[in-house]
Amino acid sequence: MTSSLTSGSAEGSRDVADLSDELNRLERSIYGLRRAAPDMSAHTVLSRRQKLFGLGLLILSMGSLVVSPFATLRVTIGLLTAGYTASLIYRLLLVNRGLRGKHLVRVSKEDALSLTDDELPIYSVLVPAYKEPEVIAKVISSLTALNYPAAKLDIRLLLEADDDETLTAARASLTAGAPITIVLVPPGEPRTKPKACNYGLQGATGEFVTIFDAEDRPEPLQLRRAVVALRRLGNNVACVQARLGYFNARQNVITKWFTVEYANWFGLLLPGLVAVSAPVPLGGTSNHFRADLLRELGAWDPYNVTEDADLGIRLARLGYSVGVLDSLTEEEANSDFVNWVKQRSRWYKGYLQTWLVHMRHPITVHRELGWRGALGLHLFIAGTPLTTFLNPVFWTLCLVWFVQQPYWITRLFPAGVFYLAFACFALGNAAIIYANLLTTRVMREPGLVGAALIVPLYWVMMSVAAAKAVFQLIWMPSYWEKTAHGLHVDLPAPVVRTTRNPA
Amino acid sequence: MRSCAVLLITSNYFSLLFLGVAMNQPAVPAGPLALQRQGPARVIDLTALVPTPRAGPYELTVIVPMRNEAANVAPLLARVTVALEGIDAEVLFVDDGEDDTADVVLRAAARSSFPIRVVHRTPTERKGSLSGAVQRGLACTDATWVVVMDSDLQDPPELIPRLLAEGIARDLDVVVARRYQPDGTAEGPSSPLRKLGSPGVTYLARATFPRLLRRVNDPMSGFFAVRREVVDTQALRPHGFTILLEILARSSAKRVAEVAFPLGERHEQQSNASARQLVSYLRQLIALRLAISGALLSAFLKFSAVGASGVAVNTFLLWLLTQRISHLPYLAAAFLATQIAIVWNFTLLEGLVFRREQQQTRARRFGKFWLLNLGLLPVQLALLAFGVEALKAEPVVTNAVVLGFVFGLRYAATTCWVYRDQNVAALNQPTVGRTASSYRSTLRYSLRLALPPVATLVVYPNLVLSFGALGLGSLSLALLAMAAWSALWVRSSAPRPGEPDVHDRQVDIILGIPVLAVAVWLSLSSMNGSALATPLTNSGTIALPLFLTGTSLLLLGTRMTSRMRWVLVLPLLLLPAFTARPGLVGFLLVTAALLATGRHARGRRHRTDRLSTRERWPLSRQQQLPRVKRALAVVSVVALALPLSAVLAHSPHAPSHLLTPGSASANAAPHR
Repeated sequence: MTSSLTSGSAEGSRDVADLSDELNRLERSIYGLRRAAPDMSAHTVLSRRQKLFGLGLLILSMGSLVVSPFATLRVTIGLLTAGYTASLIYRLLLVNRGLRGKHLVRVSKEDALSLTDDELPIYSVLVPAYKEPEVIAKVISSLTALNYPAAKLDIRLLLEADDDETLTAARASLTAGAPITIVLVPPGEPRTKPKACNYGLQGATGEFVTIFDAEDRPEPLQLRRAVVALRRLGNNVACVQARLGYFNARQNVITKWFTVEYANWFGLLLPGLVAVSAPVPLGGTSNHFRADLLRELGAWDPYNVTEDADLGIRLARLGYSVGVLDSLTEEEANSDFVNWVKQRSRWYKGYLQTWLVHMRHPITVHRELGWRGALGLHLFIAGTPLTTFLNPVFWTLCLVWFVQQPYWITRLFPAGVFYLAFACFALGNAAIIYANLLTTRVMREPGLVGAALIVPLYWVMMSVAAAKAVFQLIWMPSYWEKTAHGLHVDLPAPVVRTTRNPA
Repeated sequence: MRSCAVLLITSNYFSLLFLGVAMNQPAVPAGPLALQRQGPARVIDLTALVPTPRAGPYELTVIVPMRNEAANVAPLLARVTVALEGIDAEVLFVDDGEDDTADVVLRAAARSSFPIRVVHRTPTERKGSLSGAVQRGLACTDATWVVVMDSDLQDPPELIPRLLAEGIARDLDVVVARRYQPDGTAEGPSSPLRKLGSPGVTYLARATFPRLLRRVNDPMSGFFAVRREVVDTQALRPHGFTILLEILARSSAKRVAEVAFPLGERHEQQSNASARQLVSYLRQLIALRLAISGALLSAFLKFSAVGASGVAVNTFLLWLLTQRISHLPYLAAAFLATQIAIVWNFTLLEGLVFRREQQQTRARRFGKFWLLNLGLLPVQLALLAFGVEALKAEPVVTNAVVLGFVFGLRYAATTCWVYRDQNVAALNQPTVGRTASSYRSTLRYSLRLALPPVATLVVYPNLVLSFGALGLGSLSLALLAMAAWSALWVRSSAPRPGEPDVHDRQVDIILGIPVLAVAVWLSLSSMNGSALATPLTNSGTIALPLFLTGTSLLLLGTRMTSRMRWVLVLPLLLLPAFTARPGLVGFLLVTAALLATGRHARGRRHRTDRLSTRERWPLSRQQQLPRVKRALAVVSVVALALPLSAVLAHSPHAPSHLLTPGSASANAAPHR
């Protein structure tokens, strides 16, 4: 550890005190949560009890499969169909609640601008970046565009100490006087974003703290709006999550799908979750926290690959709530199939990881979250990747049935299950496509209607990602699938704004 | 007669195939090889002698290639001095001569009002003749603009300001000065080449590059201005007098225009035009068109000639052994004939093609060559047996066709394995470093690229052939269609500009296995399903492209497969048309293949801007799997393919009746 630290110190000789301080911080950022609450950390995917339970379930199902294969498969398919249907209905319910538009926190421009410099608190902005020299100059320009007094801003660019390329690019584009400090994160495993954020958080001086990714373009007033919102909502709200959108929506059909999906997610589903008082999985960036509270909660889990979603659940379990703030941060939508699958598989894997972590003590969790919250945890956090994973299985069965009508399928699907599954297939899919169309309407983006109509192709991509996620969860749970950025083409087309304005 | 045509066309296609693969190789940045080749340049920089030394690039560098023309220096400089009045310029002489030109220039420079430099090329450095000199000059300057002019004073230096002004005002990349006879006749002779018959030479160049030269009437001109930034001196492979053509063809120059001027009087210089120069000009033209280096082209042509003679020897021996001297079984005879042809080929290759010194001994080289040919022998014999047994063709003719087929494979293997050193030496210039390892990777790449189609051919031989036979009526034309399709296959595998170099083996497997499974399911169910025998109505037909897609997903990766998506579905798309208008579709397919390969050759020109987008995504064609896993992937595909092919071979619906030539008329109507 020491040797890697000295190699990371690019600035030459340093004090021993500095070094040990650095070491302490690193140690805390990796082991903090794991030590304070081992059951909250995804350091191990399954706890001993979960392993035993899983093993028992496996043996039981194998045994019954041998004894009575068709009955076992029938029961399994029945259970899966029921879960599938429940997840679908829950999702439609969320869209319905989200459309009412009551649970999006709005702060008017006047309110945001009315705060004087003295009234504004010190705000820490963490920007983790790893091997992204090509976007670093842009992020610096969009950060300096934030409407917030420089004296109150504490922007920390979190770079890995051995990432020379990004470091050089960052140093080259930093101008003197900008309120931006480069924080060198000592190299070491796990090399994940949450570890860097934990490291950066320890030196952060702000009352509030937020994260932006390197390719983000936050709305300039976002910090001010967050200050007003967090002060107005009171101490029970630990965090407000700004909406995320994409600046390259029109690049190709993948970015169009992605844009519709994000608008649906942040504009309808997340407010819907707030409405039904279920835990909100935070998005990776633009979540604004109260800094002291965040430190108290153990901050991010460096072993979870969607540490943000995990944090959302942890907040809910500890009795805090989350608001969705009506302010947009524009990101770069992934425009490339392989790259997209990598990113999405990481998310799905993280969701499954999160669900498993929080299901270590099911009874405690159900007590802490209440039945509404627990329902959200199961049907939304675990339901999203699992239904996606199961989709191709049922599609294939459906295809085989239409082509060959083999007898064994009739034996697998008893009448009740068949009609339920068929309703999911026919009505459920139609309803989800309709929800996507609705989203384009809400966005006032008729250009995306075409993409919304052929969204089943996007589901195929999702299923590939889900399959990858499940395999990775088993073989390499903490592997962070790095997504390449800077693939977008700068187009003169107007940026798609996900304005919530139900007609 | 028809077999001859097939032989010619298939071997032609395979060479195209190989060229396609070779050209698809990423341009490797010039390695140590290039550095070493370039050598220490004897640049005599006289800028220090000039009253006001300066830093930063000049606006203009005038490059004057010289060869034993010391007498022209003084009059040239006198006129240049007047012409360059008010321009921030320098003059750079590149001296290839043996006389005292360098000293004359040095003396003149001492009195000059603007900087003058001279670069002397020693005899060992004098590659590429006049063009090579200009290339060296270009490499020695970083001025914004470069004007290249002959030293013989036939190009009036007074025109330089006009070329420059034209280029700046119209934002051009290249401005060519075009000569014309003051008396109104066409362009007169200037460079030695022109004496060979100027209109013909020019016409040939314009016919070869119709688009590139549509605004250039005088591509042979040695007097032009070029924006320095559009030329990548590393990419030039100069040869002879065609430097303008070279720059136009191998740079990113897009906006080109001409300025006309009357022909001046010729000063003293012996002109030495010959038939040799014409040949070298033609060679250069072909090399430019194919976007490869001239040396590589001539090595390839020689190799082809030797290969053709080898085919002749082999065929003759086979004929002797099976029909004259003895009546050996044709396979044994082919084996023997090939052994002798190997010796024949090796002797000729050693003597004619790869003459330079090699690191390894001749015996070792022969051993390698023999092993290589022995390795190819099973492929050759298998194809031969297939032709004779399944298609009932004449052994001697089939043998010739088969030899044509394996030609491309043999060339790639020979150049990169047996004559590796030679290969390095054959790269005549400090060009984009095409090193031995890049040749080895070319071979690996082409072998890998060939795997999915070969696997498909092994599993569905009947289906594949019936596709072609159905459309084109005869087997030989079916082979032609397959060759055309292969060219498209190779062509489409090239990375697209700006494409991210992100790969994921897990995705390959997740996508590949279901696709393969569906293919297998479809082909099995098509067997015990209804007995529909024509490809159009047989659900097994869909299995064919699916199987190909699956194997290529697994073996080549998702990204490459997605590049080839149109080629993958092409047979299916053409199928309905095939049944209606076979000949037309065949013609279209071949044309498409030709256009694709042709377009690719042109694509080389844009390499420079393509590279710039790729810099951020350093090229690695695939995430390399560990060797064991790669082998496992191949073995599993084979393990899947073999039983499947065995099962399908016994399928009662194998449309073998389509394979016999002559049943073409029956194919137009659905069977049964």
